[in-house]
Amino acid sequence: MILSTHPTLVLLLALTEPFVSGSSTWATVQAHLSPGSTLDDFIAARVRKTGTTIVGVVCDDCLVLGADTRATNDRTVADKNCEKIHKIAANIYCCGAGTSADCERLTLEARLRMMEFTRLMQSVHPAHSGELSTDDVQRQHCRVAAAHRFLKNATYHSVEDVSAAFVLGGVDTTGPHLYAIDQDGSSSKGPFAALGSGSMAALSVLESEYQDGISEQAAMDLVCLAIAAGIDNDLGSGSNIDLCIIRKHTVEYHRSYQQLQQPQRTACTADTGGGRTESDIMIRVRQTRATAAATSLARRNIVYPALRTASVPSQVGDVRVRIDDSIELL
Amino acid sequence: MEMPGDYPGLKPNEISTGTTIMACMYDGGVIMGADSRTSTGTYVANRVSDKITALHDYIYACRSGSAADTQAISDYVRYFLSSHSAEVGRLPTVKTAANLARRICYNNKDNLLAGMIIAGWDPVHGGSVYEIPLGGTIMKQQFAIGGSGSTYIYGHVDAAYKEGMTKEEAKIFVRKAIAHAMARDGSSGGVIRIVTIDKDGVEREYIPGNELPYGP
Repeated sequence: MILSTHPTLVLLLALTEPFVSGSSTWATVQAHLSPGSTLDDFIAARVRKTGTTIVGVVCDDCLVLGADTRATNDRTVADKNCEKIHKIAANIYCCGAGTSADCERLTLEARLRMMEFTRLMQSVHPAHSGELSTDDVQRQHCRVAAAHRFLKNATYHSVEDVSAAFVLGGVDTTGPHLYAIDQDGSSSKGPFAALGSGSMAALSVLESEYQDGISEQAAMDLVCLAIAAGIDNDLGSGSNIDLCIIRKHTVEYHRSYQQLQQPQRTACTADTGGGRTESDIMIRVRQTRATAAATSLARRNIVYPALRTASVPSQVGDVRVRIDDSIELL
Repeated sequence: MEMPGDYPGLKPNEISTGTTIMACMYDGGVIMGADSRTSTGTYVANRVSDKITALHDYIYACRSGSAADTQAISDYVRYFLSSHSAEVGRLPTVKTAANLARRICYNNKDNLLAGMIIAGWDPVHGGSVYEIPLGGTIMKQQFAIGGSGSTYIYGHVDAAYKEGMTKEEAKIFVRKAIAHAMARDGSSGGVIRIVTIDKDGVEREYIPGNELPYGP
């Protein structure tokens, strides 16, 4: 997921006409790319999908959705534990990939639309008001096809302005349904789906392990395996796995069902003084970027401790941890 | 960056139904066929997609070009057709459906990339096949082929087509042609979906990839 201007987003805007003609198009795009990028970066950015792995699997009578929890800002991890599974209705959930603002906005609009419809149903059927909870009314009346229709049309008609793809699934009175809505506004329905930059890794797991009539527990394991494949093999996906099991009468939403990367907050807070929250550290890192001296202070007190507990080779700013755990300054 | 098999004018990484679609009239109805591959550049986004969409009870459309555009066009035509059918109180004609699609494709030709084959049965004209290639022309034909894979089978269909085929002969004709196109076109593959429409209703079949009448 991308939180700020990104080459791919600019490309969607700039490439409505052929690229070969018009230096103005290239100048516009170049203005948004980081300095020093070459044509190769430009082309690479064109084919790069947005960072996320989202997956959905249909079982006999229920549906399992899964997502990783990494939000990226170009090459920085902006949020280590974000929520990519959004609620549309009590029985319909949606995973979003692409620009996070666009995903949030479109799923919010879908949620509001379903709620408008729910209120209408509650007023039209007087027996419902008072007796059935809003959730139960939604389970009875809200259809996954309706949510799909709304989200797909919203994506298609704003395709020049937004960059968002969705794996939408739910269980209504006609059974479980899963839709994949791509970034350009086309959609497809199927027994399993994977979208985002980690989708190829996830899809390879799904293609080899999926069986018709899969059980709920097997589906949960399969979704975890698929997201883990995305997390391991795609740089844009990482951190934990969120899982959402939607059944006919209940929904189980597991935030951080599997934690593949332990949060490094404890190391940071211990070194900089007890009682600091993660956001305090982020503020401090931003402030200390101002001066070189402050930067080295930040590096000593914040970055090194974090990197020392890193279990995988990683890079924060210009400090890198090599595979043998030694720290290298670039 | 255009991939071989992509339509020129497709945005980079836009999902295309680079495809093979076909429809053939026989005495009493039509047979429609399509492959099932939807691609984004060289990545197959959906290997079992359904490119034959219902516009009305007896009228179906084969879609090729941009998946998003053709899905949106089919949605508009389905909506207009159902209102029209309710207003006139009878089944709509395939000609009406085809013209609705053609108007959308022609009037928005700068913003759309859609090649469609509209076919079906109506009580007025029986079975009919209309082709609407890029740009929004409309052509009524005995049989029609479309999509990127169709370029490989022009010679084959011209040689194999016979006037006055029966339903079974027409089905074999469509199956064989699509199988040949799938063998040579990289953007076509998966399974062959066949839809038979006549006055008794609509029948859907599919031929799995390992049972194609002709393959690599």
